[in-house]
Amino acid sequence: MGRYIVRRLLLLIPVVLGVTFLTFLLIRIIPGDIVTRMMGVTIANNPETRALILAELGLDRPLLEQYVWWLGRIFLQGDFGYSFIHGGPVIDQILSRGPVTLQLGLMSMAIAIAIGVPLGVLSAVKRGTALDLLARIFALLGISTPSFFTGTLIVVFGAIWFPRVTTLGYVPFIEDPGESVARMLWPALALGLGIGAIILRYTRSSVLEVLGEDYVRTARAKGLAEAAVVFVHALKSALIPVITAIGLWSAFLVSGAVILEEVFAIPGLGRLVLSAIENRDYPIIQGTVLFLSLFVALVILVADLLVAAVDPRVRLH
Amino acid sequence: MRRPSLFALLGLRAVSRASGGGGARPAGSGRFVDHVRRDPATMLGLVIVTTLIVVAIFAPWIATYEANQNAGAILARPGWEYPFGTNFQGRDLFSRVVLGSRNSLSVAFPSVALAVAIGLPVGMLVGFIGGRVDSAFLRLFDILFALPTILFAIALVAYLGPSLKNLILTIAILYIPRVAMVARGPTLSVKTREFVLAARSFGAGSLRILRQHILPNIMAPVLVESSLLLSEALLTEAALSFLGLGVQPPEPSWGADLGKGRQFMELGAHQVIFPGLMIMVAVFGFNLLGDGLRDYFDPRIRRQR
Repeated sequence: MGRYIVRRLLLLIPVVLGVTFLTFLLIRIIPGDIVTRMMGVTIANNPETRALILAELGLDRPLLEQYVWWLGRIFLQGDFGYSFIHGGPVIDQILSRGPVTLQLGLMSMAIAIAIGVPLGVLSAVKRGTALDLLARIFALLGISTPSFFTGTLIVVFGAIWFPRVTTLGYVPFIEDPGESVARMLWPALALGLGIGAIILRYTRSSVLEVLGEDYVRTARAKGLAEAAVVFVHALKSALIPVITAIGLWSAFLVSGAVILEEVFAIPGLGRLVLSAIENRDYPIIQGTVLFLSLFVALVILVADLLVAAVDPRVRLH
Repeated sequence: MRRPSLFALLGLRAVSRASGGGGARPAGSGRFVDHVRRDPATMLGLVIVTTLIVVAIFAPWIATYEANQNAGAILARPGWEYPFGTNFQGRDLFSRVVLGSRNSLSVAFPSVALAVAIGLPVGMLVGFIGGRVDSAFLRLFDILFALPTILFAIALVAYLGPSLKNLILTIAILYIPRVAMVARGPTLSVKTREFVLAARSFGAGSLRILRQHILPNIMAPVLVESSLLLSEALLTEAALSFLGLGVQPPEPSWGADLGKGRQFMELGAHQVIFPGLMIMVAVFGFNLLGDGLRDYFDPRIRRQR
């Protein structure tokens, strides 16, 4: 296991380099003059300010040098640059908004797993029944409905039908954990339903595949009860690919969270990015995209390690 | 094969009969038409997608008002006069939704086409060359998988500036690796098959082998992926337009209209429901079609269901 972890960590290095390089390129693909776009013509024409801005962005050096310098600043000093609007360090903003998005993400994922895994198993075991059909229709509708539509519907009809239950708005977790979770429940549901549908489809096909394997037939042949076959023998190996899938779909979750924060007015990283776009605050956009991408890479890593811990085939291969 | 009868429970069979009735041909197994006839879900997907394309083509003739024309009533409820109601600017939502289909499809189709045009040859070449090139490519794919797609699209559009062209470009860039990955897999296995070796021994060049022998064998998975990518492209366009980064108002767009409708939604939920439903139905259609194509091309999966 130790060797597998080391190897997997080494594989993370090219991923981190690639993600950072792509994010690094973002600010360099802006068509036209970046200083003019950020600051307007009056300021851009002032040579002193112009030089200052270019130096702050590191745009006055050769590309590769810029990249190494930028990378060093991020990983050695935790310096993601400074906001053009507030002037404060980008990392401060990310660290203060991050927990909000994390709470939304974790709650959505919990809801998605709570919906997707049991329904997926049930749907596979009861294959061909009305229950299976309902679960599959739910899954198809779930993956076809954008979470921002579900979210908008919750906001609209929540306000019309249950004005007491659906109190929206954000309360920090440390201030009032109960209230915070209760209010985050609605956006988490909007996001969790869609991802739950995806997990349902993965779980169903994975369980179906395992149920067709020889060792499951053997378990049945020796007279085990169906429940024992499914829960003791089949589920253990059927859920392994589901863990991997959940890890991979965390990237999708992050994207969804960004949009739902806008729908439910949650002050997380998503709203930070969107307001930064309005203000052309490029360091904030770059920093947040980078931070979230690295976070996703980390989640995928954790999922892979989890799979290796459960499945000896992976770590020995 | 118990699925069709269960779909009949929900009345979906009716769809299959109604649209599959005309031009009957004797069943010859393996034809897509027959597969569709046996599978109501795929039929439904095909009907939705076809309808959508027809609506988009004839949109100006179907719409009862111009997109930005004042229809004579502000925030009217859905009814005979205005099937989907009107918005806070008095614009007819039915007409906007119909005309908006043009914008949605004219982003989704070109972006996926562009992604296929670049991703397909890249994937084939990578699989064909194999070895180091192939493993380097796999690393690259790991990286792109870690990127939160919509977030990256948001950032890309934010940097490039919102326009139809940039929207198409952004979505295409994000999907190139997906297509390449799908093209790479089968190329790897097909290139070692006997007929490829035979062609080579007859002196066929690499280019000829790729085009004549490998391409036909990898079209099926690429077609399936394209259909699924179309549904994702629709979603991404809708999401970006919803956030104000895609199709710019007053141009009609489902995503943008849904986003705009939120402003005064307590004065009429229809403003958000109809644009949202259209996104949902369109994505649903392409998903059904994609699933159906996959079942058709891969009988192993068909049995599993």
